[in-house]
Amino acid sequence: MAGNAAETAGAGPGEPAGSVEYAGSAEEERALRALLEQAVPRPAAPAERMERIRRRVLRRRRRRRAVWGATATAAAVGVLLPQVLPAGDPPPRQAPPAAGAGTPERPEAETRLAELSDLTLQVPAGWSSRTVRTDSPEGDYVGYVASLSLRPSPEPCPTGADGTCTTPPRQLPRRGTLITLRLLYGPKKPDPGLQAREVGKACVVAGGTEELWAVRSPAGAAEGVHVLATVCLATPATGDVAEARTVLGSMRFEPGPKYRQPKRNAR
Amino acid sequence: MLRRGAAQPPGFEEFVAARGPRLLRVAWLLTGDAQLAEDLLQTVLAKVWPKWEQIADGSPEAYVRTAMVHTNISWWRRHWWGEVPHGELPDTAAPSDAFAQVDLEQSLAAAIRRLPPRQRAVVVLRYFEDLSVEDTAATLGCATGTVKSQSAKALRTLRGLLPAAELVEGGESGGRERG
Repeated sequence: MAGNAAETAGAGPGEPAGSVEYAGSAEEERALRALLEQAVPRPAAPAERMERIRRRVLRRRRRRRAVWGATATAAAVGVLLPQVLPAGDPPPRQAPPAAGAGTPERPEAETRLAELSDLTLQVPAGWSSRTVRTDSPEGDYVGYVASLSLRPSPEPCPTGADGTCTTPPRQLPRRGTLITLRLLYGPKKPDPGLQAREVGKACVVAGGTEELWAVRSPAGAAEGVHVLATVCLATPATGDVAEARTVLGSMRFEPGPKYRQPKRNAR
Repeated sequence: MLRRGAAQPPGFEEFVAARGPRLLRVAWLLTGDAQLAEDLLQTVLAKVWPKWEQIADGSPEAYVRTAMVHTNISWWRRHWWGEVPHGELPDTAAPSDAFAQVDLEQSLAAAIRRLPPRQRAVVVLRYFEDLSVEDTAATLGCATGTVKSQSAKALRTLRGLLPAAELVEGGESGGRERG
């Protein structure tokens, strides 16, 4: 390469970069082009390149779905809650147990959410659960676990095309608890515990006054599979938060015929 | 529910088969590393996959090339591969045999890695892909004056890193003639 080309460069001190002219001669450019053409290797393509790309596409979709799930769960709850909350005005919950303030009720029943890969929880007597398919492109399911009876919902939402359902919304009763569960996919993150946050629109629509959330990796979860739990509470009394925490703490994935181990590189 | 396939858009595999080797060389020049190059290419092809039907009728190779340039710059900003420039460049030899070719590749890779990613991109687009200053500026989303200044800086750096004999011999032995 011509050694004097440096002196011909227009990038002098104090000169604006945009005015700098090309510093090399045509011969130098030609030499560089030739060098690049000769020196840049021609590595062979891996035999499974297309398969690797396909796996990357799937991983990208999972990551995007996880982000979508985290940001859109509240909206999905708002859309879907009217389907699952019961008609009429349910009675308020019973007074806290006499065992003392802060003592959660003992789990007395087991509920299993088949569409959430058989996610299983221990819930107090009188609680119920439902799953509802969302109108997301992936057709994911949202699970609801509540301190009141949830009625069966049509599947998918009868007016899913416009994202709303025809059933009029119902309110959680005082001291009502509604837990929304959704699967997330992504790398393992530290569990910050059950955190309070500003009450979201969906929770307000359901009659909630306080909202908590957590991301858990329940027992039996495959690598990279987490559960986003949103707890909506309506005027909670002492012990209601502890009760919700106990319910979330009981989550586990139940192995069984319907359980499918998600693989990060699955096709 | 958890496992879904990704339907391959028509023509995508043919494009990868036909243009993959050239794009991989571009990626190598952008990254200065064979494994990173394959990683960069696959990353960008995975990004392009869902949009293939929209870009296939235009200039998909230019689209992929532009995406590689920008992805590589974003990787560099995140320092995610922890690249550390070599303290000294490897010795070079005349490209007369296979060993010399390897030496030449290593020498070029080491020199390329000394360049900031935008200057690398300019070198790749201007001198490997033969784009005009205007097309290079359009690809990088900058002014033509910036392309010229980045070219000048890159050449000045390479001039100090690559022995003159190497460039001359490279030009005489296998170079493409450009107008």
